[in-house]
Amino acid sequence: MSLSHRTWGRGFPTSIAVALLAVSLTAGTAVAQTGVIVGTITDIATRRPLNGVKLQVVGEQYGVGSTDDRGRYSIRNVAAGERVMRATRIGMTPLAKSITVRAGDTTRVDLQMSESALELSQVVVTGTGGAVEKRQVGASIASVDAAAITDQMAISDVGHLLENKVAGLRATTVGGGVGTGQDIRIRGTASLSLNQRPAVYIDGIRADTRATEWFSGGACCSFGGGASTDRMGDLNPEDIDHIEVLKGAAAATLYGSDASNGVIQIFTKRGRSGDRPTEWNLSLGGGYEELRHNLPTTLFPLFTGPDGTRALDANQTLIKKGPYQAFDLSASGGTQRSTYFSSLQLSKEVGSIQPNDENKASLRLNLSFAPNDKWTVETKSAYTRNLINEIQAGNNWTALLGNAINGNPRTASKTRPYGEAWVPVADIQTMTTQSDVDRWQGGVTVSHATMANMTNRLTIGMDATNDHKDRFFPYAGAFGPAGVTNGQKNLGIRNYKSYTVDYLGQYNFKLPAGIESNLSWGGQGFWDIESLLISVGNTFAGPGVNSLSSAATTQASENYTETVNIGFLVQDRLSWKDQLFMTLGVRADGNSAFGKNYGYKKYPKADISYDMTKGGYLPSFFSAARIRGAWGQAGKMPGPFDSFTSYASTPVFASGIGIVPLNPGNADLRPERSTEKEVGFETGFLQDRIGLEATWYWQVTNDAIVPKSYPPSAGFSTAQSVNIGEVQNHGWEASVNYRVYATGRQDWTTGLKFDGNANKITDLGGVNLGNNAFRVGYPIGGVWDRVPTGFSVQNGGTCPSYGCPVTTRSDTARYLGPGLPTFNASWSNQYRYGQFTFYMLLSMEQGATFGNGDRAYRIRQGGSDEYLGALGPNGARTFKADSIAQWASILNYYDSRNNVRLRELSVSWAVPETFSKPMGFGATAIVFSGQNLWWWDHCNCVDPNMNWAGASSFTFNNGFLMQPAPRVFRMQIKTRF
Amino acid sequence: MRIQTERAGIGRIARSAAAVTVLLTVVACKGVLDVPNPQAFGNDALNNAIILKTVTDGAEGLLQHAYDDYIVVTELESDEMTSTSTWIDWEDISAGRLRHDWPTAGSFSDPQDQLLRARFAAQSAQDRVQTVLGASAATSPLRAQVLAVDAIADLLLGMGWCESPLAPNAPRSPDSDVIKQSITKFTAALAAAQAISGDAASQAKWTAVAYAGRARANLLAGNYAAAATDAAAVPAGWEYDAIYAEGAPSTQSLTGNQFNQNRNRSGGLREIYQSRVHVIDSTSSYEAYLRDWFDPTKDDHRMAVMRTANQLGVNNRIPYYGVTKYASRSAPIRMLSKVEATLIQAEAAMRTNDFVTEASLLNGLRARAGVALPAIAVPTTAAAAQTALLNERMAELFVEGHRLEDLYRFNLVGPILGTGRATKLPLSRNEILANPKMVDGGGSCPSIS
Repeated sequence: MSLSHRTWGRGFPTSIAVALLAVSLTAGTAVAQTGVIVGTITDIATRRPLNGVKLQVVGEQYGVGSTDDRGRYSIRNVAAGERVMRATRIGMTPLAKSITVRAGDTTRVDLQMSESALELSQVVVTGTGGAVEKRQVGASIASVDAAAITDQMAISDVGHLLENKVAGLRATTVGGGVGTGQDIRIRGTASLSLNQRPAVYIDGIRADTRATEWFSGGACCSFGGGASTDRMGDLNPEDIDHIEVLKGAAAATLYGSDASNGVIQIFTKRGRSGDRPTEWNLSLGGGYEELRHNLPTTLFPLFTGPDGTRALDANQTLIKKGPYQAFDLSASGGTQRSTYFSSLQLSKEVGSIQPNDENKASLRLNLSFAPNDKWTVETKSAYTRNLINEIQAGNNWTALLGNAINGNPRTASKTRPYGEAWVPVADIQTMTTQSDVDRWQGGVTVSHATMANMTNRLTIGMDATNDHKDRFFPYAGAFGPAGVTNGQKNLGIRNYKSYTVDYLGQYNFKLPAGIESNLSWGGQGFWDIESLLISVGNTFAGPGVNSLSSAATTQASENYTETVNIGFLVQDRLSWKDQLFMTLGVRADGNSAFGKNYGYKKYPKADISYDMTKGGYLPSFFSAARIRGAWGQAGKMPGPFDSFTSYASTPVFASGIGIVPLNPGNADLRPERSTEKEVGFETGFLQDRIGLEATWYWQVTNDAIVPKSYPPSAGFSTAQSVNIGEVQNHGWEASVNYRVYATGRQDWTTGLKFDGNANKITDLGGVNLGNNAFRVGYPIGGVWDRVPTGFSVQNGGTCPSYGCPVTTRSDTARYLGPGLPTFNASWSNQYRYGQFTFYMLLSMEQGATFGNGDRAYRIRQGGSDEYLGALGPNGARTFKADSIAQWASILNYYDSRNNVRLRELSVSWAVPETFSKPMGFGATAIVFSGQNLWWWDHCNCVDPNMNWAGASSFTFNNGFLMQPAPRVFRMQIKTRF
Repeated sequence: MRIQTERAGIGRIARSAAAVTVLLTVVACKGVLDVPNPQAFGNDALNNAIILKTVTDGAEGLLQHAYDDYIVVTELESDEMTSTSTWIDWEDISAGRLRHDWPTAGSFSDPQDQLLRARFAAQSAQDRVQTVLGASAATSPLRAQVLAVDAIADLLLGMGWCESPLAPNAPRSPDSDVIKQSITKFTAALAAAQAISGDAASQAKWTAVAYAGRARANLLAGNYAAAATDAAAVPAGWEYDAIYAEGAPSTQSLTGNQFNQNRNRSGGLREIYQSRVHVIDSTSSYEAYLRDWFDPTKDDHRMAVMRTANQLGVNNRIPYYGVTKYASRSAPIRMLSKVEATLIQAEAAMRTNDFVTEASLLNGLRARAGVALPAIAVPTTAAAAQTALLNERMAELFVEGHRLEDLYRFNLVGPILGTGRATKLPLSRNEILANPKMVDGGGSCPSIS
């Protein structure tokens, strides 16, 4: 499809930007009795200047500033008089300093900040009903300093950025290829049927997070296979300032029926206020990725096929170094009343198994403008063009690596040198599967300070994705198993739009007995529309054509879904002596996916937090301490049309049309309701050089939606969604951060994160789902199958002289373990010596089991090192080889996902100013980094993290045919000017 | 004073704005939670004469869509085809391991599920035809159509599975009861077909379907004379096919996909018959034939297979022979025919020891154009007569879904495929679990050879 076919959204961001830019340029500056504050902020331990410190003159709407690389800042037009200036930065203890600003004069205020292993004073806004310090909130809210991570490591997408950064959040690369999906989930799984991805908001706007394959349903068509593209990958990580993560229902209540999986809010960078020249940031990246050479085909070259072709080892022939290049340029700056941040990113990433690459370009323009003391207008706007040549992987006849490593080398031929049983690798490599995405995401936030103690904020925005997917099977390929003869063309268009409207009002007032109240009220609505169009053309007259109109037969199908959600909220946060905090709130939601007999759903919440630091009675070895508890509910809406009783049109005979029963529907369908309790504490030692944090949570999901199969004899083919399930999900999270030492010459910070999680299905409403993964008393996605029960040797008949090995199996499936890890840990270390900084992240997963389907498939087809290695000289059958083959003919294999992984490693060199300054550059760093470099496991598999259907929520217990994640080696140069 | 005035003004503006906002919200939100589903009908929308035929065609389409799957699983269970796949459940079917209430819902469940849904759709459509057409339903071809579909579904359920529910949400019943029920339903379908007015083509079609179906049902129920009578009423040269097309998954034939050398190669000719294939060309792809049972020097073109030299099944282990008549996913599959009716007549004759009539009928089929095989001799023993009949049934109905039932009713599973095998497929796991009248583990389907 040409670009001219897609006209939506074009001009919109530009027009907004131009309009707002014009407004900002014409706006005047304040005229008053004002002064200027300037100064430098440094780290008290290392005496190094601190970049990115945010400064705020308390009570001044636009009295804000931020530091540059040399720690310098300036704030103009500050009203003269006694003022309090507040300095904050993620990872540092906030400072508040009383100053006197003289009219028409410049006041110098230099500050020294100390690193804090605790972040209790950090301000958060997600799910809190307005900006608030973490210490005042009883529920878990985690913050990720994305900008610091991208300085440390060249990161391609948000999912990788989150890997092992938040205790309880699991982000795992499962698809292997470039652009493929990630499994992202918070606190395990608490639903029996609904998508487990957290809701994602970008600057308050609900975002497109689809990461599963396309099925348009009905008569045809799909792009199935598992290696789906992930829309989370569209966002430029360099644009992200920080991320807030709400881990569960207790924290996410104010997000209502879309929040029981937790919420991830991404905040993009803003410009820097203060009258300073534009700061340009340039990042250049390069490198490559390469699969680990551990494919089970090392013995293939020992075998030849019937035509004398020697089989190929995929390790030697298919694994390539996929190059990576990235260019990112951003400009930021502002005045006292306005800020701007603009960026351009261009990147190209090539997969290790080819063809597979991603070409991405993104533009962002973030503006803010405060025309007067009462009004602030912010606009965020980002456009992404993302072209992905998708890898053929997953449960797919044309899985490239699947064909290469699951073949039988003794059947190798010139056209099938890997002994491919399904489709020749060479033919798969002639296919093209391209996803071409235009995406615009952004919105406008208008804030109004109605009174000194009352504010209103309205956000309106949208996320619009137009994805054009194109898959082509050439005429000449042997694609028969995939149902393709003489070529096929698939065209798909996914059009997704999500509109968000969010209003929040706040009113602060004092109550008797020293109690302060912060009352919030508001509403949030979103409107999601997704349209999938997929067409298929089969059979070309010959090579040389690749359009649908050239095909002998064509079919098309459309799948349309629409969801509208309207929610209202009210909350009051009470504080007493700035030590004890309590929040009470409720949200009520109406949703188009609820059954017509169901009305609005209410989600209450309450939390309490006690900051003991200010009481003065802590033992001296505590520098900070807080205890907290929270209780709250959040929901998960059903599928858009699951409540509708419906009959579907379907093609019948050759070209006729018929109508058949489809979905029995459920007029009483309602959202799943998760109720969560959590308690926790944070403590700091040694002036917050050591921070310890722990949380325990207990979650119950009631009204869990169970896909209750209709008896086939009763007609409807789709399972009926009914609210009859219950799931218990509980766990704990802990982290320790320790700044071991810090001097001007060197510093070392280390951190440990742990979490444990377990869930159990406690009720299925008496329904036996017929799916082993869902049984009362066992975890969701638990691994079940028949197991071996005995072994004997039979003789006689056609058995060889050593006999026939016979393994027997149980009649019924047995429980083999949970599908998700029950224990996760990570250990990070950052050590700086002079201009060099070394960083390492190790991760560990324990407790999960998965169906290692590939292993059995390989053996059934007479391949794999495991089977071939058991053969005798010249490939002669042996007792051991026959035992392996007979086992695999009746049983599957199950392996442990336990692994320890060297997740990240980097070394950066901060180029001394003596080199960078003469060239006109500011802070400059050269970073060498590696990701997913090595892992240790006990799994007879290529990678214990492989997952059958990419980011699908419930296939984590099966690793079938998925491609492993590559090792990534990168270098980046970052500089400012 | 000025400040107070300004504040009062702001207050009025704020109150007005709030009122307008509330008003706009209420107006804008009215009905906003009602979203359309443009891709499906609601129940009431189908009570419409304009789309009534698509409802009855939907039921017949479901039946035809089920039939290719039915052939795949029953043929894998029989001696004609074997699993050449890497799927354990296919191996289990092919090895005859499935019995009792099989603990997993493997491939064997799906065709029975589809047949049960087709039956429900047909029964639901019967009610809708009556609702929409009223008195004129009695003479409508649509009524005959759905009654016939209802009956055929029962017939196939009885042939392939040990047990099935006789009605929606009914408890399990043995195959013999299901077949008996199909006789009753074919009788109703026949009456409805004969009552059709103003549509001679439909009347002829559904009358023949009812006779041919009832003939087979009577044969399986042991009503040989009635079977012969019904079979004789089937017009010469007539057949009723399931129609498939490449266009969409719901119209593609699974047999043309799985039993095809250029596609999945997941099921192929069983090894015991591979030695009977006349190898024409050992160096390339070719069409080959099993030898005639009576005269092995002749190729029997009714049993044509596809072969590529040295080709293995998709499991890379078993030499692969595809089925020529299913050379594409558009290949039609014969469901009922005069040819089968003739075989039914021959069997009815055999059952009365009238071997002369049996041989005559069989030779009539062998002599027809496109077959042209030498006549068989008149059998002199009951065993020879049975062998002659079954040989012709296998050749004539090769991979058309009859072989499993033939092996079962003549007790040949053990002698041909070995002992310890299941002889029919067990009840669908999905039906057992979802049907409240079913008791898990209550299967009475040992049927071991």
